[in-house]
Amino acid sequence: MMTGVLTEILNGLLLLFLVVCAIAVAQIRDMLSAVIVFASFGLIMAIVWQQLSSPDVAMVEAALGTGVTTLLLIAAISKTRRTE
Amino acid sequence: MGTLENQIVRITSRLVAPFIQVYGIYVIIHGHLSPGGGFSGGAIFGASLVLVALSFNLEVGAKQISHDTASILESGGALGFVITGLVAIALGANFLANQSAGFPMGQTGQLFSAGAIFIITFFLGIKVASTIVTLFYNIIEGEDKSGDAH
Amino acid sequence: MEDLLFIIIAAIFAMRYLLRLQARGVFTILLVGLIGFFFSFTVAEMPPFGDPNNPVFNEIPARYMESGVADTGAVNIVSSVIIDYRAFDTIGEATVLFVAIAAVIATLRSH
Repeated sequence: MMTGVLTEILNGLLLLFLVVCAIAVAQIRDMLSAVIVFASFGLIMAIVWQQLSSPDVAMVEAALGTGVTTLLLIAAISKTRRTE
Repeated sequence: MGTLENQIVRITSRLVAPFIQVYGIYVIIHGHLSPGGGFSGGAIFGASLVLVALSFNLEVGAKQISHDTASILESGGALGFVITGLVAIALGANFLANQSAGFPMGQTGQLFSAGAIFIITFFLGIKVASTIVTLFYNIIEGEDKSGDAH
Repeated sequence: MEDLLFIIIAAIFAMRYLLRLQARGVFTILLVGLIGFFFSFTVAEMPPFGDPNNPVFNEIPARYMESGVADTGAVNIVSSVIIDYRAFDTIGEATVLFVAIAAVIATLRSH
């Protein structure tokens, strides 16, 4: 019973952090900071997938959404301007 | 040999990269037994190759896997997937059939089991890993040769 | 609980823009409130997560879970679905990946 309440609180905090990260990515003017915040968005999203009991999607999200997307966006920033 | 931050990044990535690669191979070849599969395992393996190229320089990364090798592996993974489907036709079943085509099923729960699923997962992992490596190299050195890089 | 959370966050960001009230601002607040209301309404009307009486649990997942191991030999049911039962979808996915990388090479490689 107690663990169920704690799990609900954890899920609520994760979703709140997701919303905060999504708004911060849209608001930050520095591209590199936005990419790093987006990587943390992907990491929290992977934990949310794990909480929804789908570890396959969580692994793909952690590898692609956090790792490879960040690398490709940083490579694209290094080719263009850093500020918006 | 660079500044102190550079040294920390290089030594850490050199230590961590083999473990990430072993984990990626584990996820690929255990795709029919545990969570994971071709897509996630290939993404982990490709990310480790990109990590080495990013923390050292592009020449060290190209020494691990050259561009031509990555392109050949990328096409070969897709080709192997289709050929596995066509072998099922040649054995007298539908396209991409598994058990009805007579692939060796093995003991359920063992590593070498599940017939075509093991083969297709392996090819899919190779394809995804080399796709990520090719994508990274093409973006990072794409416009440099034309001379108008920003 | 989560839909209440979304309403509170939407209210906070609406209050931030209420300080400089214009016609566009009012319209934006109304639009965002409407979208948030419909999102929250949809989330509240969704069936509970993981309930065995949900409409997605019909005879197809039952068939996969009963005879998936015997049909494909794979213990991981997700793997047996995406590579054996639905392998044609996966071949389309691999084709999308192949076309994407071909487009990137054709666009970015200069020689």
